[in-house]
Amino acid sequence: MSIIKSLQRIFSIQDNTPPITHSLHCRKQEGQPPHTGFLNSEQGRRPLSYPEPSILCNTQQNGLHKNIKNDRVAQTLQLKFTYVIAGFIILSTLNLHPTTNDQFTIMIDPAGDAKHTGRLIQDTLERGISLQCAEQLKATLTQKFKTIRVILTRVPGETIQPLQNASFANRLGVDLYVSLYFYYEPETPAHVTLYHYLENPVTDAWHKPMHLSLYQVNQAHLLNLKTTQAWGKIMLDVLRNRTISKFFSPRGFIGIPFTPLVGIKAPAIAVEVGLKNKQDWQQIIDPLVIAIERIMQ
Amino acid sequence: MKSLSALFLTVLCFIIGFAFHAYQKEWVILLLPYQTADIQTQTQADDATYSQKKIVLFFWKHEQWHKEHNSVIWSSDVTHNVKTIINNLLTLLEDEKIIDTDIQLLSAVITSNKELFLSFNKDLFNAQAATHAKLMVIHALLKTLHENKIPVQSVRFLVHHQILTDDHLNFSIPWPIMGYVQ
Repeated sequence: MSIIKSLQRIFSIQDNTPPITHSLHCRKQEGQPPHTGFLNSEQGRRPLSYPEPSILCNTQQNGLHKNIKNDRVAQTLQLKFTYVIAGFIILSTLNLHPTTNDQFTIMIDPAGDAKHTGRLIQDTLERGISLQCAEQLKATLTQKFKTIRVILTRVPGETIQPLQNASFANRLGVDLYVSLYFYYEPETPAHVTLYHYLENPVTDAWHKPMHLSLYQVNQAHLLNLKTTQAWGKIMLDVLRNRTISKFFSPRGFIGIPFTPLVGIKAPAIAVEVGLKNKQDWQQIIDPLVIAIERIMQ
Repeated sequence: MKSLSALFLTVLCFIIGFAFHAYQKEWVILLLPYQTADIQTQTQADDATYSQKKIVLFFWKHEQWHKEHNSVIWSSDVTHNVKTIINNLLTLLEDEKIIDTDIQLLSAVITSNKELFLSFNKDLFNAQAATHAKLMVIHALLKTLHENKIPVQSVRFLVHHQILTDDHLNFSIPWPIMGYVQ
């Protein structure tokens, strides 16, 4: 409030401010309603209605015809102007130090969509299980961490176009992109495999990111390749820990040309989980939450 | 005299026109000397380079690599060898129930920059298979080609001469012969 008061002082309008465009004449004559005023303008006279024109207007004092200074209008304008400036300054301050930057944004992509059913796991489709898992993961993460924001790439019944998720993730500037896949695996223990996008296993590692240059869609992964590899190793270490992940045997973290991760700038990791029973997806939630927690640290 | 020369010119034009028409319609075929020489050389070369050779085939099963030796007819024509190797491997993978039945390599072409194009008659993968299983089928092909010293640097996978499409693996780019899995 002190900022607003000081701003009011700075931007206060002086009394000798000349009338802006119109001269406001207030007639206070006998037999005329006291609250009626007239505005002289090029378009002619039109009535003005103010609550107390007798207070607002000073007319013909000491024999001089003065322009009426509408103090209340001026005050209102002054206040509005002050609030606009104050609001602008507050917004600018918020923009300089946005609180939202403290949040870690994760985008979770459940496999499949309305058109692509995915693989069959017992009598259930992959798209249903992946969506259930993504929603559960989102609920657990948002409940456990206040500084995390989780976004799902789709809702039930939605069809995803090629590169739509990549565009969505790049525009939002997400910090981590996790893609979830499931398949039927009769053997136990079921395997879990982590993938990240890689086109050339030799030259991709040589790339030095340049922020002011144009990248092709299939080169977007190069911007954060080292972070992706580091975070993937953290996730793999968590999955290898038998006290955390008891039900799955991790195969590794492999860089391959994995189509669903094409064009994503943020570190993007795909998790493919083998399921013997369709309910087993619940066992992957805790290891993933712990892995994300370690990544955030 | 004039009528005689006019008749002579007419006959000459007719003969030239007929010869040109016969060439166009391929009634007459001109075989130039250098073409004859080429065909003979190639025939001699083809005859000379067939031999028997043992090849090694790789496949991934039960979380490890397995290998099997096979005897084939080896040629100086690399694409012929590629066809032989790949079709042998596909038969082996089919026997091991890793891929579906009746998958065959239709054609193989090697470009000047050592890129090999493999065109199959149908999709290589089972729709229910894990990405890792599909990856290991591709790596079996790459590893087998590499171990049998086929002089290529990258491989493109096609089905009926169109790019192989898959939900998980991107085949719109050439796959390096060394593969992605260490």
